[in-house]
Amino acid sequence: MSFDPTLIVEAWPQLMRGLETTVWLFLAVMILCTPLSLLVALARLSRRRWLSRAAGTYVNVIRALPLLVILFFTFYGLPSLGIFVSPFTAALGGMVLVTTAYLAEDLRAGLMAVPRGQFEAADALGLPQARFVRRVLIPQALPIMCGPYFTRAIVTVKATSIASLVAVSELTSASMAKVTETYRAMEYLAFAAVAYILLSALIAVVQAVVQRRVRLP
Amino acid sequence: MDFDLSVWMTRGPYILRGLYETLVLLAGVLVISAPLAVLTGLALEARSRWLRLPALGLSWLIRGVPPLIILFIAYYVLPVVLDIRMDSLTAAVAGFVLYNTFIMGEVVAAGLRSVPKGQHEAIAAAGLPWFRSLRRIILPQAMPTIIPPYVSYSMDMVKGTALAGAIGVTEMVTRANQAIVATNRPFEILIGVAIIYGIIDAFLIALQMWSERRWDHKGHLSA
Repeated sequence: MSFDPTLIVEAWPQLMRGLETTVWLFLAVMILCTPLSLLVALARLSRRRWLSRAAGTYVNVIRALPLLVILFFTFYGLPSLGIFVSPFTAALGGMVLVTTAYLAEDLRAGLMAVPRGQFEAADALGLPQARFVRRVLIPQALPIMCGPYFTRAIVTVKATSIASLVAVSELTSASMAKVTETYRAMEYLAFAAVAYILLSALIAVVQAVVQRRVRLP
Repeated sequence: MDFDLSVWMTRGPYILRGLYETLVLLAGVLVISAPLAVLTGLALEARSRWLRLPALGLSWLIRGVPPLIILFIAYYVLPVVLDIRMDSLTAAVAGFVLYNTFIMGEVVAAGLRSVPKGQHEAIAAAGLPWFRSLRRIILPQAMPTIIPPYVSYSMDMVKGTALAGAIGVTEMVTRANQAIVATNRPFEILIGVAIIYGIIDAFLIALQMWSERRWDHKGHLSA
């Protein structure tokens, strides 16, 4: 068994296009999920029973299902409802649905770690709820949320590989296309593995930078 | 759109036969990787640098790669490198065991770290043998920290088995996918599959509740 790096060089443009799709998919998922999951986390902590129940049901149902099954829902299910979208959009929709649920739980843990007294103090001062969330709750929860948030980001960047199974030509499917074309598995899969490791390492670097900035005085 | 569950009458037996592969895969991975995870956890926390550094490096590598890529490597690359023949189910078990061992290894290592330092010092002072102190003192106290993440990663594994279809294991989701293509009834089929996954997850939650009762938070074994 030999390892032939020239194969990777020859396939470079295709592999790079795949990597680009992976990065876009990941960024789109994170940008959409971050505000949505914060809303779901706040809903779960809400005093209104129906709101926290609804959010809790959503989170628990989604977390019980394989991502692949949910991607099949958006990939096959939406067209059968008469909604025709590209595979990329279907995968994006499915991943946003899933990642929001997981991220909401991560963020909720951070929000709950803020000392009870802060809530009581806000009540005593009659601070409007929206301002309390924005000025008191989130700034104190940010340093705690940071770690789980970026862990979830790393899980998500790896999960984008599952989109290859619903016809999105991202990094994994570009690599597999070359594998079936050339019958050389090692080179392309090694390339994909290294690319994913580098992406996770990059996220870890961003985490280190962000974590230093949000630290409480 | 009409909702017609009768598709389960015709396709149901075919899809449910995939439950066999799903459960074999799950049981195989969880049973094989459990002892390996304990060893990995011990290596990650070992005092010897020769054990710790390779374990740390491998863990970082394996956990940085998507499980789907690990499956592809197990199926396409491993047989060539080792010069053996492997069916897709064996390759899937091998790939998932590799992935799961390091995920669970980190969980075990975190559990070991949660045991107060004084316990280790007391063991050294009393001159207890290493293995017995591990089994009788350290692991029972680490258990309450280990169980919740261990079960939730096991649930991830339940859902991860769906990926094995990508290397030709005809597990439940693969068969469901074939049934969708054949009947064009995605909702009915996928909702049925979702309910089955919910049942498997419920079993694991029951197992977690049982084991949390068994090892209370002080690490005592209750009868």
